[in-house]
Amino acid sequence: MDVILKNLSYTYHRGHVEALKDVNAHIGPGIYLLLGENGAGKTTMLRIMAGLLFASEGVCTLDGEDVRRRRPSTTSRTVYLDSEEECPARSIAEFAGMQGQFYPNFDPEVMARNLEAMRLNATDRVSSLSMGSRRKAMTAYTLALGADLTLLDEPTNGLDIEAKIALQRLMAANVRPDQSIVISTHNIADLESLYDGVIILRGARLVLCARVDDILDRLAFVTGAMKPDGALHAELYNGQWHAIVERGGGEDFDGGNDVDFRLLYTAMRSDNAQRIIDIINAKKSDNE
Amino acid sequence: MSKGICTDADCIDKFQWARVMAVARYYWPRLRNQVIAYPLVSLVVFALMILLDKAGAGMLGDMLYGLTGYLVMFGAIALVTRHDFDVTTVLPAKGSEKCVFILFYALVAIPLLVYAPGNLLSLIVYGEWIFSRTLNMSDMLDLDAWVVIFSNMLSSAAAIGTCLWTIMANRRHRVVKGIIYPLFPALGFGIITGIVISLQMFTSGVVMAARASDADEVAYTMVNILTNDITYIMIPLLFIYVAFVLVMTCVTICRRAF
Repeated sequence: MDVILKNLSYTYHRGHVEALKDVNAHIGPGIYLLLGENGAGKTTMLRIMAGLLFASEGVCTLDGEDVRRRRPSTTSRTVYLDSEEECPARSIAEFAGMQGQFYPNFDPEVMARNLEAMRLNATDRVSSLSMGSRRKAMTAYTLALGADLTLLDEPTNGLDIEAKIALQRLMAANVRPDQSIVISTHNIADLESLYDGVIILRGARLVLCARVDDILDRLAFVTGAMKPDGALHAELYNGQWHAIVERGGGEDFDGGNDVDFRLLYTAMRSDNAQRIIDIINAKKSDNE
Repeated sequence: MSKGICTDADCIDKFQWARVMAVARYYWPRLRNQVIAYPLVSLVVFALMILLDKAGAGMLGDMLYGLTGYLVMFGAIALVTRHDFDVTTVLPAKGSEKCVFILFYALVAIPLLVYAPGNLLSLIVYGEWIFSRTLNMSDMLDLDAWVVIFSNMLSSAAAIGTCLWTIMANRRHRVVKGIIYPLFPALGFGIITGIVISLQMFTSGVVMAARASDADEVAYTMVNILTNDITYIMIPLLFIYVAFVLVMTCVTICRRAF
């Protein structure tokens, strides 16, 4: 699934509030982490990609098809789970019978497995479940739909530690290589090892959309007692320096083969943000 | 994917009856109770009407018959549940497929569920349809029976359409709004009716005062003239209004985005 956002803007309240401004991005297959401060436009972006909102300007396409046309060929390949969405049926089994029939990749067996991993049953009455369990059930069901583009808004909100671990396993087990999953969350650590890409919004503008591979080709995320010389961005927390350094600068770095998303996010809010973006984009251009 | 829905590239985006049925299956769990309850309520109401008729309180029976109209007008509210606005907005079916089912259910299925069982009961007990009450009324009013029936149907469709448009176009408080908003067009048509009556009273009153000597005949003639005129004025207005709300309902189902 290729999702392309082209010059996307969205305004609320008859143009008085800018929720997204001139966003351009290409989201390919893989699991993407969507980051941004409150009000940065994360949910708006997800809702536009889901076809629930129409961009004021620009276009969002899924494999070349404009999502605002809401054709069954695109809507049956897209699913969006809102951060507060609750099951609109008496049980997940009933909801699956209602909605699952429209999704060609939906597999009831996968749903049953997912729910079992969350220690839930498809026939449990939703009204008898706790808020966290309802959330788990909806997430387990949503993943079983197997939609080519799955958009999850704060999927780990309200989940206990066990459920977060189970969700991580489900994501790893369920996601096909051709699927695109975008996860908006403030809890970066919950699914950290799964992300293939990151999208960062700041003040309604997109500052970064890159794959983890491209980032790690050019940048290393290092930790140590001393702040590295020439660090593009560094922060002291938990008694250690965490820094972003450019690779290929003549120095070899031990480790640094995982993206520290928290550090990257704060780096995107620093004075050096543009330099870091230029370094990543230079690599992306080389690849393209 | 439901059996029968074509997912090939050349047909997935075309109108499919199989997907209309899938939309019906989507809504079915929340409509199930209504589909069972409405005919039962209808039978109880019409049975009461028959009993009241036999007890010589036919007027009360007619009032009960009027109450069934509310079941029809607000029946579409059963399509609404609290948490499915986004799900139904991007439910993977064409807007036209959703419209076909929703309009069919609200405008055809619900009236049938309410009126068919009672009419059957009436046919068994009296050997005539309840509808024939309307036909008798048309005799009294000197109106063509089908004009009265058509006018009644348009009035119901106006209320149903307004309710439907309201619940499709609003994200919050859909049930309350679905009950309150149909009152506004009813009020509007009431005002129009009032204006027409006032004008007719003025003009026909002058004419009748000149020629009539029997007060009962004056009243009868006046009611007839007023009802005739109002019916023929309201039918085109109602028709335009119904067409407008149904088109707006479909546009909303297809294009809502908030």
